[in-house]
Amino acid sequence: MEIVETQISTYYRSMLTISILANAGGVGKSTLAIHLAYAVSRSGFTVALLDLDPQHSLDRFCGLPPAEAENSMAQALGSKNFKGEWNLIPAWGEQVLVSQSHIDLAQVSSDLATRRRGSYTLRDRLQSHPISCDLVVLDCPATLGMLCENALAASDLVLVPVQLEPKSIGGAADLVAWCITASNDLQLEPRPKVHGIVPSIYNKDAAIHRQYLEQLPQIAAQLDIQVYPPIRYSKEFVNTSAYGLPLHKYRPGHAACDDFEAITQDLVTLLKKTHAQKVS
Amino acid sequence: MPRKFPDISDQFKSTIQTHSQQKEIDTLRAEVEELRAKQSPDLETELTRLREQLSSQTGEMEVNTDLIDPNPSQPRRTITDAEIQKKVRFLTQQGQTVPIILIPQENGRYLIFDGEVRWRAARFKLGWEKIKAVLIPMPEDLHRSALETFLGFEDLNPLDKAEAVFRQVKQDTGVDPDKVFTLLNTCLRAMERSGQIKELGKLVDASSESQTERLQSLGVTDELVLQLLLSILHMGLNPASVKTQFLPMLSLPNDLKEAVREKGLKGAHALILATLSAKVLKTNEKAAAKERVKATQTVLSQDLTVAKTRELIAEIKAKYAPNNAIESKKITSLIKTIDAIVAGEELKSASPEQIAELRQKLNTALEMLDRA
Repeated sequence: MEIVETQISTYYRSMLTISILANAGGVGKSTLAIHLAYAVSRSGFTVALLDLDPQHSLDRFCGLPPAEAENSMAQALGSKNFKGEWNLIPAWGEQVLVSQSHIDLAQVSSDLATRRRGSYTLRDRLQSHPISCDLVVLDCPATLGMLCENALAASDLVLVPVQLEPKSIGGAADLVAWCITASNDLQLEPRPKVHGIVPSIYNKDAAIHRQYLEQLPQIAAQLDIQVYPPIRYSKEFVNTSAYGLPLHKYRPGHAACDDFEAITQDLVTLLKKTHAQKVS
Repeated sequence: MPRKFPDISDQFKSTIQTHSQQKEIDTLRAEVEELRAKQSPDLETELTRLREQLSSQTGEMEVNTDLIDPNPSQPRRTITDAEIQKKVRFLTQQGQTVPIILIPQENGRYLIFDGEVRWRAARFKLGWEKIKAVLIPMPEDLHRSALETFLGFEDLNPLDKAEAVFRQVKQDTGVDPDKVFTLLNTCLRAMERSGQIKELGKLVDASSESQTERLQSLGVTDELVLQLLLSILHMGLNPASVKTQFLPMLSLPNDLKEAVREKGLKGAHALILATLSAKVLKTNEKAAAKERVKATQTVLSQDLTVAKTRELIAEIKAKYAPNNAIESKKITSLIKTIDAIVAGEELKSASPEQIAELRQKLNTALEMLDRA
């Protein structure tokens, strides 16, 4: 019954929304998204995980069969007559609710471009039809387009997973600049904050990973962004995804589980603060 | 000597530049805001505001809808679009017949005490710039006052109601809901044993002083339990029904919570549906959730009565029954053992320590049964 207390002090108005953005593919966005969702939910909060990537890879990570288009985010963002159909499905028997993506979301994305308030669709819908949860995690596509704009406009915070290799690092630099200019163009007030960089798929045996990890904090400090401890590379992340489980469930006690601890604690503290502020 | 790779700071040069420019712009903007705030407000608008304020003291006034904030202590957590649409239709046809109630705040804005649905319909759906309102001073305990206004309303869904009640209990006593369960359970069971449980229900309408007195005479000695019962009685609720009706609402699975909030599923139905758990069905969470969602759909679409819902759930459980039969043998033998002990001489000759331990074990077991 530990979840009960937070349920009580929660208002939909105190929902915190966080985007997982990276301007490169395969850097561990979904891995970060599901493990954060899982770990935060274990601290007694309800988490909604929305998949904004038309590749709908979150299905596999969550062990869910593919959703029909009309039961997916493609419907939630695409329908002209939205009445709160977030199509949430519980995952792993935890306080994690997943809204799956669908390939049709790609078409919806280009339709949104011509729609009034297209970039604000997700934000508007979350406001008019809030999800009763504490944290919303948006798993975004690798390309900075309409869907990422929607994510940004709806977010309080942005987390940037980055592989410590030239392509991903370059992508992260562009991404941070994009967040600033896009927030200005969209007149987001307050601007969503790039909250942290999360080095991912870290291999301590790779010299380039070690060097970049050492250099990153100084650069991030100039951007007022914190760098979280790295998420290590482990083949178990691949293995667990085959079972559609977070590592914590597949290999409880595996050392890589602890790599999410710092971000989780940070988010939990933020959630508690948000509650305290908005409820009092 | 390990090889050194090209520095990554070059890749971030232009990003850092963009970031520091933006920071500067933000600082300047904040200064402008500060200056603007320091300037004295326009005399004419100040006078208009005063005039309006004066006339408001005699009754209704019109308030700008964008000066109004929802009340964060609103016990009603969910406002569905359907409710707002209903209000939109009403307001369009009849106009606003009753003023909403607002609490003026020091910053010149207003907090809604009553009428959030009307305000949302008026502001966000109908685009009204003004809404009729009457003003009241800030109540000493905003949450309790709002709660009392709302508890009487049937349109507050049972889950919101339960959450509001336990928020108030927590505020009054500092006790968390799971602790409330244990405390209430223990003291209610004691009253059941002494046959005084009915007396408790009669206390709802009694005055505060006599409530304290009579609770003490019912054998409530623990200060925390006393505060807890008083907090519940002060809300006009019977502690026994809080235990049976409200507490279980909090541990409903999410799909049912959502159905209660969004689809108007009734509390009694939700509690019956909740028995379709993974534990009871001896299956995994996913399969249980699937059964529940399906059953919920049936209950809602066919508008089933409580009795019919029970029948439906019994049918579903029966489908899973073969698995249950194995476990039930153990329980049968346990029941026999208990019967033998109660009928036999063991209890009379056993040591007081052993009896006490048995009592404690049985109490814990009863609690587990209540929760299952």
